[in-house]
Amino acid sequence: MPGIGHLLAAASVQAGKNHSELTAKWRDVFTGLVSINGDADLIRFQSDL
Amino acid sequence: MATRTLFDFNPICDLILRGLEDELANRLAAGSEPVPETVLLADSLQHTLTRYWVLGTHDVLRMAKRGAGERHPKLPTLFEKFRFVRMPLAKLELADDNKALRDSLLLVRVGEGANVEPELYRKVSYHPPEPIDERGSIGWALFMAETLEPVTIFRRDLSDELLALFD
Repeated sequence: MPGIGHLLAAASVQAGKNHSELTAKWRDVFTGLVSINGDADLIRFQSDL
Repeated sequence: MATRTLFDFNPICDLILRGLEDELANRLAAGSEPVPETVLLADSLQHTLTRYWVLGTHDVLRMAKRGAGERHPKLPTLFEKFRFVRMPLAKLELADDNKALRDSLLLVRVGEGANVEPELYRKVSYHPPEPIDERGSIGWALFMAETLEPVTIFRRDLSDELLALFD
């Protein structure tokens, strides 16, 4: 049986396929947010997860 | 462990949530009975991810709003909506409350029967009701601290509005 991580990864891939039009849109939004004030660190949240 | 950015997960989180919301909407429309082993886990996951998505997105917008972001035509207004929702989620308080309100506003706990005594806002943690709309999206039934005007905001609307930020 696949592990939990594998199942969640598969779910996220499926979610991306179900709304593929939004994937590029989200990339544009985050790029736009960075460009607003020129802070390239805006989205660089580090995580220990 | 590799460094992850919010950009890595925030959009994926939204897409997963949209999937969970769609499935919940279908279940609600069909009037199907919950199956505890599966539905309750999905509902818990949706609730957790919804909370995570709102708090994480709020922080991104807060930073984006600095400086030139204050002059963006849509960003400040959208940020205010996230801030309005984030305050009770993160602080268990109404956004923009004040001492007079804390000392006068009475709240009633829902779901605990008809004979529940009102409690002073100052003495309790504020947990807003979380309605679910026809899209399966979780929302928050809030009210303006100054006017007590009720305002309900749904996660799907926040997401759609953010997606349209640069249209």
